[in-house]
Amino acid sequence: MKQTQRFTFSALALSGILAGAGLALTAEDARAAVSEMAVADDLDTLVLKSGRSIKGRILEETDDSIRFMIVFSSGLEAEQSYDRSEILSIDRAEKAEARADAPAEAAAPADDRRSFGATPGDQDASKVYVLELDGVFGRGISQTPIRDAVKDAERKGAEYLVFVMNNDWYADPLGWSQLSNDQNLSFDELWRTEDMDPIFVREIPLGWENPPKVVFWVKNAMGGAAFLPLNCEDIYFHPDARLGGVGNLFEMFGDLGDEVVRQKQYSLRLGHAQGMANCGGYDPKLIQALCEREYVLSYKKVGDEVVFLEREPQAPDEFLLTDDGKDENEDTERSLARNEGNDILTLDAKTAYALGVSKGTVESIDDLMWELGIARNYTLLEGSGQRILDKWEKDIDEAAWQIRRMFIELDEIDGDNVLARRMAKLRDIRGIFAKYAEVLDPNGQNRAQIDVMLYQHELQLMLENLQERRQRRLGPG
Amino acid sequence: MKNRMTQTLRTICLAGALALGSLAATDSVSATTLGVIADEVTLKDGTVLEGTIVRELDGNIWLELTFGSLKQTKYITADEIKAIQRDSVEPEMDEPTRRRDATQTAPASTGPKKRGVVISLEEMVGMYMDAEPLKRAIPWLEKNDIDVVVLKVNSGGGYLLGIQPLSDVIHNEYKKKFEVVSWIESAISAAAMSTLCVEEIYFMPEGNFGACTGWSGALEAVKGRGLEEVLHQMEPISRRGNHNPYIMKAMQHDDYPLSYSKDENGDITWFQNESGDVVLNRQGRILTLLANNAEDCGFSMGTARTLDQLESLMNKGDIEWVGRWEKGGLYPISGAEEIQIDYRERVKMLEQRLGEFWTKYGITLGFAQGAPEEDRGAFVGKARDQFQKITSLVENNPNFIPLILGMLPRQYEEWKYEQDKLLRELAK
Repeated sequence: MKQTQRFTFSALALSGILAGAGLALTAEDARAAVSEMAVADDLDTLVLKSGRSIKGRILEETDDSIRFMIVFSSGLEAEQSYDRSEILSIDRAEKAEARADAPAEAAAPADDRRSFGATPGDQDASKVYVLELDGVFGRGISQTPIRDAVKDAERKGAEYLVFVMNNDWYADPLGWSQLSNDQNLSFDELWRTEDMDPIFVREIPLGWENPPKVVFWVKNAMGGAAFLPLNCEDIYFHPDARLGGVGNLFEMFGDLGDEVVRQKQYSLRLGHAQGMANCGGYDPKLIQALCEREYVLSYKKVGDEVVFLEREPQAPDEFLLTDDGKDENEDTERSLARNEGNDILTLDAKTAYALGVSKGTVESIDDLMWELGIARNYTLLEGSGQRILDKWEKDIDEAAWQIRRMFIELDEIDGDNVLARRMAKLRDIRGIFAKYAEVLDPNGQNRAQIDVMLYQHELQLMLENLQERRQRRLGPG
Repeated sequence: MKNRMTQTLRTICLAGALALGSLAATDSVSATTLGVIADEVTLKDGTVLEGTIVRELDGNIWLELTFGSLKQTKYITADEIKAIQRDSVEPEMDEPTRRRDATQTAPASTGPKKRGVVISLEEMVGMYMDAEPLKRAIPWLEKNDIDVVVLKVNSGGGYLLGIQPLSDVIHNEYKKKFEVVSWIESAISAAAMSTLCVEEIYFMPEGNFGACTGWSGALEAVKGRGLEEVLHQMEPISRRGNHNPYIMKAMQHDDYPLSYSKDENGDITWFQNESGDVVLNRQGRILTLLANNAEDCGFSMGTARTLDQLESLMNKGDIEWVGRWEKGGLYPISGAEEIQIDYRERVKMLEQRLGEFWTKYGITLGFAQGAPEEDRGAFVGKARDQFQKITSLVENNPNFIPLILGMLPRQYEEWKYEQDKLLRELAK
């Protein structure tokens, strides 16, 4: 179970005030808002020369300044920079109190869960940067934070860039139980994958001066998350890993419209998905088995090569991956509940290795390093990448809450200058949608609706002003 | 691909051809009077037509008739035909398609390096991926002595109307002035159809090409006459690119399976059924080609992930790629490419603004109609302002009328007149 519980909400779910947008105050306002509060003990503390004490997390330190994430007792956060000349002392969550005028040191991560235990190495040690992609795919796992995290890896000079794919695939909002392989099938999350895959197939190999080796370590890659690792040649699986959850392609449109148009829609989607697999060097037939319930696929090994057969096995050295799912071949409830169904393909560690999708099954980062051949001499780079990824989903959740709350406040606006105050609130809401558009408003419809509301308010204000002016001209009575 | 041609528009566009066709049907038009060998088609109503059968499909025929120096093609359904007597050469159907062997070495370059550019064709066909910016780029290409133009395609399709102009500008203008090559990232539906006229096609590893079924609304297929027309439209476009028309048919409708066999020389024979050695598309499915199967059947000359790889596959010798490189870019951005980018950005901005002006106009008109008489003038003025913005924008971009407003030109003019009249009435 994750330390932080993640919820899946619509864009209008309730939440606290968004840290970034809601607290984008002036520096003075931000500092004035700080006071000693009862917050968790696992935070750093800055004691200013003014006497104020601020709790939070040190993000970055230089000789002249400290970039700090203030954490309020309500859970709100705000980023703030402080000159060292303002700081009396620093209490680090894990280290002894340091003097403010001490030279900058690399900050220990406040959250040990993110530390993979750097192995000190010499200058020739391979530099490994690890990023865990967890959260809801398309929401917490999204292109902006991945891109920003990758930039940090580039700045650090990463030679190996390891993405740990471990997306949420829960049956309940509290994350207490996982969905089965056949539940919540989400092929059309492919389009969110396409928002992200340029980072892997283009930006990293073409944009870096010395492109790193990109490795995916799969722990859970279900739904659209299944497609992302397939863009890359180097995939490893955790022993409990699975990859799939996209087996609803040929069911997506039901009986809507004409069959020939439905076939077109299936064909173009399959083409996009198979194209991604081609990028990573994987057989397109695998994608079809992941996506199509009636597709029959078996395989056999010829030397080291895997040969796929679009039929049932006909010899002892041939193995069935998926059957046609019809009549007696249809998966039973028992087999589905045990994740043993074979109407659609879900790759586990063993099957992925057998098919050559996975290069190996590893249980830890150290094991992965061993598989990569660098176990004797590697350094795990520390950077802000993981914080960027973690903060993003938290920000999204908070933004969604904030939007919901602000719409309620909008309806409650009363008293003087109602229209002007409503318009200001609408602009604030719009700003939040714009900031997190890729998740909260990808097609711009929410912003367009707010623009309509703003214009209606503008005209209403104009009407009221006209009436007011006329009344003033006419005088009392 | 959405078929934005309304029934009315389609009728209008075909009116001329149909008129000529019906005229021919009432007379026993004979091409033999001109001394030309002809097919003779006897209709059930007794009419006898002589011409050349240029195409057949499931018993329906396209008969080319000659009137003096004029030629006109008449479509005749199987139901109308009583008998056919053929004298002309059968349309070629199963001609093996020899693909240029990508390993052949190009003639040794004796002069300076060729100059090449990459031009992106992206987003919706007919709006963003359009013939207009390609035409605008030609003077720049000529002025900068460009020899090779790579059309990098990444589009999910668009409007039926956009296909022919795009194909025409590529085939009739670009191919005559430059060596043209396609590099496919994704060419779906109308994007595939409009670029099929290019002979030399390369794929990116993730490339996909096909799924060209026409549809509109709630996944309603283009059917009947409309389907026959677009199938017919794509045959000459296929031949422009030296591609067997069977391939595009398999991309358009699930009645057309596709397979091929390859002989010892690597020559491909295509079949519009599943009898070939390799089945690319089964009955009941729609074809989308991928990088590997496109290469194997010779539709693609090869697969290239980077521009360097593409250059080495093209066998045109060393190429100087013109333009400025940006960090992480796949190719340098030339002036011709900037024309495409600017055009798309402008169309996007205009489309958004049209949507904005349209919405605001409707809201303001509502306020004007509901406002007290003494306040109405201000709102009418504001509504007229929005109205003028709409008309100005549309008249500078006439394709917005059918593609965004969903109107025929005549309907737009009527709408404009009515709105102007309404605004004047409200202002009184």
